Amino acid sequence: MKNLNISITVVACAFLLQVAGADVWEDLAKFKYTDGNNTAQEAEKQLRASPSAANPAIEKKLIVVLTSRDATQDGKAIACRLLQQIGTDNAVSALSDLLTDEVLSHYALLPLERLQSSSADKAMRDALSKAPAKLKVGLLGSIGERRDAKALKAIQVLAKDRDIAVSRASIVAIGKIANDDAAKFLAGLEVPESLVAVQLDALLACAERLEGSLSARLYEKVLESKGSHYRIASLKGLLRTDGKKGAKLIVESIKGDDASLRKGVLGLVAGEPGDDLTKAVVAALGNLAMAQQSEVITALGARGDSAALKEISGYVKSEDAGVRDAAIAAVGQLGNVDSVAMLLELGQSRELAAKASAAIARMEGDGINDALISAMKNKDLQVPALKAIVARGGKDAAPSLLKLVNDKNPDLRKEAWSGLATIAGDKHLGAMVKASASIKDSSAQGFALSAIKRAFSRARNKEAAFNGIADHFDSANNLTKLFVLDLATGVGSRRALDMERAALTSGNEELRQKAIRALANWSNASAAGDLLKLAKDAASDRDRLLALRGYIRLAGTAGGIKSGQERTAMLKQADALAKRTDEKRMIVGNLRSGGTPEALKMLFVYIKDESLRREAELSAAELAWNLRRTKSEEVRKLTKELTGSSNKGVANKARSALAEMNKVK
Amino acid sequence: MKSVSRKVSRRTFTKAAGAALALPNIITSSALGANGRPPASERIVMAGVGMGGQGSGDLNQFMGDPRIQVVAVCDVKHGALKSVQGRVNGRYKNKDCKTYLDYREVIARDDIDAVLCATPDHWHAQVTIDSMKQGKDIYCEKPLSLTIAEGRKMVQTARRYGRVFSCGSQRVIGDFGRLACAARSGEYGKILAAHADPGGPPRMCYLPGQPIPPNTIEWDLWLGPAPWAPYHPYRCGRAYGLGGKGFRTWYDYSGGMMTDWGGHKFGGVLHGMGLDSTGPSEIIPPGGEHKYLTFVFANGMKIYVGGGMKYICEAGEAKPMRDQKVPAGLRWYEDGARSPIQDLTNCILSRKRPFRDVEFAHRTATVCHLGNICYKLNRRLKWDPVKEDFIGDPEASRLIDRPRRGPWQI
Repeated sequence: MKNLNISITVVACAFLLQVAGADVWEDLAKFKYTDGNNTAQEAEKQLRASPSAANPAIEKKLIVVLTSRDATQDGKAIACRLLQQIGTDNAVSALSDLLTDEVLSHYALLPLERLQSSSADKAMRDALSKAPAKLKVGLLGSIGERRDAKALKAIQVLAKDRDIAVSRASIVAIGKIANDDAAKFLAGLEVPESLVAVQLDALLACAERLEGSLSARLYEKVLESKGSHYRIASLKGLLRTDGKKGAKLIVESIKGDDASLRKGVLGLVAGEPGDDLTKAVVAALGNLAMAQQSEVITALGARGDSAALKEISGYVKSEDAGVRDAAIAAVGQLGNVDSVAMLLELGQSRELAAKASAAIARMEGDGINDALISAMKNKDLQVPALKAIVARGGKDAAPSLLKLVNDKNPDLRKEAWSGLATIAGDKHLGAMVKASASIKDSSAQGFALSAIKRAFSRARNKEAAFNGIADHFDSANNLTKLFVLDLATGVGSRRALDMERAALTSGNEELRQKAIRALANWSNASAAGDLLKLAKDAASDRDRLLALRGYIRLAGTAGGIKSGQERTAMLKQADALAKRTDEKRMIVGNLRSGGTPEALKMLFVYIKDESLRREAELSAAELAWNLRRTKSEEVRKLTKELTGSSNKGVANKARSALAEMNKVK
Repeated sequence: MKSVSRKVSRRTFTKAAGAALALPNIITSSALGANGRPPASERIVMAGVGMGGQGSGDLNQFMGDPRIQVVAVCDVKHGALKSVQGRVNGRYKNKDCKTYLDYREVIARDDIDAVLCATPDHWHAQVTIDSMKQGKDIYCEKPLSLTIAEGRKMVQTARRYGRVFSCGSQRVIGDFGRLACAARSGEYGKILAAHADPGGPPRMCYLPGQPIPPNTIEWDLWLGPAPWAPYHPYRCGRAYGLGGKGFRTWYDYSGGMMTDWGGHKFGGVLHGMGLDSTGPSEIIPPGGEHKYLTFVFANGMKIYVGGGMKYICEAGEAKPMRDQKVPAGLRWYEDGARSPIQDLTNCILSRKRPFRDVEFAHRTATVCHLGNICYKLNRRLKWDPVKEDFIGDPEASRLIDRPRRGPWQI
């Protein structure tokens, strides 16, 4: 600790010396924006770099700038900005002299407004009596922010000033000061029409800071105004000061004719706390017109007070669709496990199924998923319960859904597969494959397999998830086997590859064809050897073509190939097998990824082939650019040759590459 | 919304009476609500303030909603106004859209229900608070505010008057929603930390003055509550980034990329972590204990400012998944909306709080501002997210707000 203290002292001393000797603070006094120098940035930088211990010394320097007769306006403005961060009581006097300056008054307020100091208050109060009207407005803003009650009397006088900007700023400041005297003054103030809104806002600001009857009186005064937003604000305030009265007035507003006020008040129902409000609104619900009932129920739902649940539950079978739908949604927001059965019952109706399901999906609390799983045993409630738990993303329901995939009811089977597609986890995939294998109808089996595919796509560990599926491969039917071989493509594991190899020699032509296609689309280089062998030995041209294309693609882009040389060597082998132009074109396209001089040489062979020249030149130019750091004379020579291409793009690219190569020694 | 009543309001009466006097028997089918549009008297009447690239883009989206009718556009830059007015009138096939240089004239109109604010950042609080005091609902572009205190006042005003207030950021759900769903799905265990990389803070502007080209900009109005400074096109330019050619570079008008992209990225991770109603308890500058500037929350979660956008959970980095449901408890747009603009429109009608409600936007902006303050002071800061003040650091506390140039008080 002692060492740390010494270090801090040393650093601070170093900065103090720097401050004492630095020119930047003196330069600041001469600073003008138009000079275009870095003085201001330097001053800012020094302040940022200095430890707190150096601040008093910097402050002194800045005060010198403020008080210097010769200092520029811009320099003083920057000094004020810096004092905003580090200024203390010591700077108040210098700053107060600027408060009546037309340009610098606001800059002086930058440090003063947020300085915790009574002398700052006094400086602003003193300036208020001397400043011209335009600057009074700014001062009043800062005094209001500081809530300086000692300034109240002076501001009360200015609230009646003929200058509308001054009287406006004064009323705002009084609203912010917000003590009893300020409240009483504002309540009794007569203002012209143009300042009514300012006065109302100030009354509200004042009322929010006060408590009890005085606050309530202010709200009641604002409540007499015309604008619905003022009345909403007052009602909200009255809820706080006198909950019962506020709630009663809110219910009256809901019943009233002013649609704008009613909408706003419903926002209060939705968002403002208080048992009185819930009770009053719930009690009024039965006496409202249906259109209003649905709005109020929606607001009560958003309010989230479960005290309204019982009453709202009575409306879920309302004959009015708007009221009924609002009630169902609100039960979703307020309900608990006990509400599940009621919503499921509603969900049996085709018309209400989606609404009930959405409501259950939204419900929070314990036991809801368990209740749904339990309800799935009841024949009548199976479908709505299944839909609801899927909508909730309830993974615990997957085993229950698996039991339904072979149900007699085809609709239920379909819903179960759809649900599993959404919620099944890795561990359920094997059971899903097993279940799908027993489906006789190929269309239904296809549906099941696509559900498995969707569930598989979510698996985080694809290899492990695939192994769960692969365990059921041997006992599966042909359609499922084809599906699994296809799925294996993206997995690329050893086991997956072995399954494809086995399929190649299975004697089952359908599986063999699928395996060739799967290998051609393999996700890593592990299938390259198999593809090369197929490309060499395949009996049919179609198989050879598929295998060769797959091999070229892997050579060009697959992961797991260690070097460019290896890729180039693979493409050279492909070159030896390629017969058709489109096969060679694929090789040309992939050679650039090899990134080797050897690949460039191969491309020059293709350039001589008229049908491949264009693609080969483009690839060669790209590759030459990738090889621009090379020292190889041969590459340089080939690149130079490319500069003579009739394709301008190729020639330019080659020239650029050559220029870079020439820089390499 | 003033206009939902079927009673004849002053505005509807004036419009109808005017039409009757001028063009008897001609009331367009559009005004009566044909083609799927609500009748004019039931539309949300809207004005746009700040009609640069973002503002006019937002306005286009609003105009795409048949429930909205844009009637006024405002900008202190003359050039922006005419073209936007032309687009609005072209869309509605009328000449009703008026132009304004001073937003105060716009919000004084009784017929306007909602205001789109897409000005530079230093005007957001002023325009939106003044508008809410006139009973308007608000769509405000992000970043919400220039200072922490401004943001809190915006929340207070919205709550005081029961106004619906949505902040912009289509990316919180649009770009980062799926990631949040994955992180909150439970598949990865608890969220431990998140990374977000919005970009750097602003800097002071020391550009020298230039003559103001005639009939181009109302300079004093452009500066508004900011300290007076001479005109320079780069001071008020639209150029994006921190390259020194647009307002986003400068401290007096913007929080830099930290707030600009922070509105999206911090908004995204705060949403995903369920921290968008609170704030960090500690902010640690980069370079010491942590490589990145780091926010530490009371529950132990951390946000690192850098390293892409990602959530680190107990079981590793969360990745978006197919068929991902929105997990229970993760907030989303209201009533099926697909963008914050549609969300606001829904909420103006339902009076619900929108997904980017001002409180959430304020908490997001606060994280951005805290980051900037930490960069500026370059030291570890302790923050009380309830009181919204620094703990034991008066120097930092001064940076929570800035004095506003008269008469621009909020």
